Amino acid sequence: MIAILLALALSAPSGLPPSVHPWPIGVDPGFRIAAAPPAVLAGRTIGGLRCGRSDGSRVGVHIELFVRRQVLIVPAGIGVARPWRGHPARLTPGGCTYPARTLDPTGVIEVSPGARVTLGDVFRLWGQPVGPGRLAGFRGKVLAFVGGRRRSGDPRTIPLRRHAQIVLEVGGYVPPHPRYLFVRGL
Amino acid sequence: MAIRLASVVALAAVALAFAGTARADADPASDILYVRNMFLPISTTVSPAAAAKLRAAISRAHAAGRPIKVALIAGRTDLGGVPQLFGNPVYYARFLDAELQFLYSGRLLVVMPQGAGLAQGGRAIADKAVVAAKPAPGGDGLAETAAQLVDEITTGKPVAPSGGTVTVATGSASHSKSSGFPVGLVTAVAIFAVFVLIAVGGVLLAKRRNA
Repeated sequence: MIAILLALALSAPSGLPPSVHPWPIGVDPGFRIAAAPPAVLAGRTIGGLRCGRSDGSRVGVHIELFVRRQVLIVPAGIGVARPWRGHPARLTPGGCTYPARTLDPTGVIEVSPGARVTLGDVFRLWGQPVGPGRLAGFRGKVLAFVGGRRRSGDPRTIPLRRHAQIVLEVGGYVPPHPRYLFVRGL
Repeated sequence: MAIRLASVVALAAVALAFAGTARADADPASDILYVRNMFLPISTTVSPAAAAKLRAAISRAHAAGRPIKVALIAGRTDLGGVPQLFGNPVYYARFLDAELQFLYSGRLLVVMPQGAGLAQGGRAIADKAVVAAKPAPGGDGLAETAAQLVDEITTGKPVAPSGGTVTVATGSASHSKSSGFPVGLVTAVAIFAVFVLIAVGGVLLAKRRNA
């Protein structure tokens, strides 16, 4: 009997869509955060990070942020000084950019190859606090995951390595993605 | 013995119920549609002319009071962290719609090489034209199909395919809502319930024997 039920259970999902849970994008005021503080917009050096005009290749890192099981969007324009062209969905820098930058709001961080930048640097360029008990404007124990695995310690120290998939969560657990498919060239 | 067996079965049921549950948000389209009405694929190119045509169709829909957002998904890369949804436009439309639920209540159209899907309010919409859509290959094929579908959905009337690159079935659009979104969840819950019943039965049987 049990064997039959197990067989039925295992065969039931065939032909059905895979079970994937969507998490809604947060829209409360705390979820709408500007991409850069005035110092970054002006291209000043931030915590040792210099704003340069190198247009060479970059490597991709993907970060996802969740607050109370809602998505906190990582905006386009982090690490991008004025001026730029485009719109909130895709920026084209017209001035200098930093070793870590976002050109769209997909959570993909473009990192200069060889640059030793950390997640803390991204938040510094964003102008937002992050730490074991803080994620942007939200307080609470911050859970960090890299490649789907829990990472203890201060999330600011997480290095931005090529194709790393980093998830930070506060106020509720969301099963983290282990990987992300990057476009060619990143 | 029966109690042990019941415990094992219950644990197996829990594992089965949650097996295969993946996570999101990691799909680029949701982040782009947060601020725009159109997501173009990043895995291939869409010509400016085809993009403009789709943009115009979306504008017409908004002007007609029938807002719509459109995502063109040409490859697995366009789905970022949920590539397993490639090839299933109906499910991805519902998925995307759920992600945008707090900021958008209009219709959401997804076009993939395998077909198209339409969703609103967390449910798929069984629109005849959408169900029958067979996009032409390439980014422009997806955009052409999407533009045509947006016009059909907006007007409720079939629109002649342009350039012969798109095949869309004619017929008035019916907007009956399917009840499909939680199919996987409902299946898992049903299976879980069956196993719990078995486990409870086993425990009661063991108690009766012991007594």
